[in-house]
Amino acid sequence: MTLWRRIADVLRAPTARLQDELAEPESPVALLTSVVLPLTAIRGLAVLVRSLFAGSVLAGLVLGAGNVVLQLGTWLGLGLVLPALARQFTVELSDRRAFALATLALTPMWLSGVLFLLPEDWFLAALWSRILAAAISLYGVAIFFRGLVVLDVPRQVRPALTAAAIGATAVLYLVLFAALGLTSNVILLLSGGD
Amino acid sequence: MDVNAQRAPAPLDLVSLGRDAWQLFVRQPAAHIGAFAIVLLLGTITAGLLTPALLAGYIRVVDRARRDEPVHATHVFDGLALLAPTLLVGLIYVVAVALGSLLILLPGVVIAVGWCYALWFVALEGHQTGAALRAAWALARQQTGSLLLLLVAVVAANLVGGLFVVGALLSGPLALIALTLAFDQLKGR
Repeated sequence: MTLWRRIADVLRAPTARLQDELAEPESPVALLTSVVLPLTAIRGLAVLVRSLFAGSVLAGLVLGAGNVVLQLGTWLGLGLVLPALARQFTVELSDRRAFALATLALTPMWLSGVLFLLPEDWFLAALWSRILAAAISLYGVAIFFRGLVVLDVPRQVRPALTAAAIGATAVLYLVLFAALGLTSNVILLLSGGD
Repeated sequence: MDVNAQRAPAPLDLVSLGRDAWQLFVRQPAAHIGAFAIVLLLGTITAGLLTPALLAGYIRVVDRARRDEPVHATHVFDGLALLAPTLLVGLIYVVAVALGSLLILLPGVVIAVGWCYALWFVALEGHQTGAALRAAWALARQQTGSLLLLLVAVVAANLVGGLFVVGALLSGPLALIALTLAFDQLKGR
């Protein structure tokens, strides 16, 4: 199945896609190479192109790579944390299913990365694009919730587990975002870049 | 039956961990807050040089409290007896995380998580530097998901605590108590 067919299925008919993916989940490495890296590259490339237009090549490379790592780290962290998080609610979730669910739930966020093409100098446009990106990313919450339905997670546990997963994702993203900001500034400072 | 057999590590239960940490804290809140304040203050004054040793001292305070022994804030200075191994662990940790982070961030994060319990192995099991780092790495490999979840919960609690003026004086000790209690659970102690 091609990547774009997969994406189209996730967006148009998530339940059917979830049933297929969660019934026989691929290994995390296979998901990483076939889905995660290509999709996380969208935001990285958008940031790079934006920076090239602004004349900041080094900043573009550092921030582009950093944005890929940020999204990759969030996916990795969520995939690792989900089985332990599910156990808090007496739900058993295998590592493979956890990574498959994390991949599908984060797909909207990765696709919204194209909105990062808009320059930050155009303040209002940039602000609205970030808000839109956040709104698109929220569709991932619905995908995650449907995933819990497909996995036959008890009804009374689904909202709490979904909320906990959102919280964990937010913390992972924030910590990596802060670390990325610090690291990028240090790298650019050391290289004398802008 | 082999009485020396190590208990298999149980899955981490965050809710009961939080409850146990809170109960331990409220038994002697002044001692915990005082000890944590000493760690923060002296750590800042010494540019972080005494922080690992004092943290090890506070970990031992928590361990004493867990065994229902009376504790005082000044017991945190017991960690100074471990100055050499804790300072070395702290330095290696900070340098490795910093260098790893410069290599596109993720290696630094992996090291930060993998070695996060090294100080506990020095404070509670008397390991020297190299052995503590190896033991912490082995524990993280064995319990990656649970450990990561625990760290996420601790960070979240401290983020909330940091929103309030005195919140950090509560969330800080509670986080360290929770991490110390979890160390027992993760290791099957």
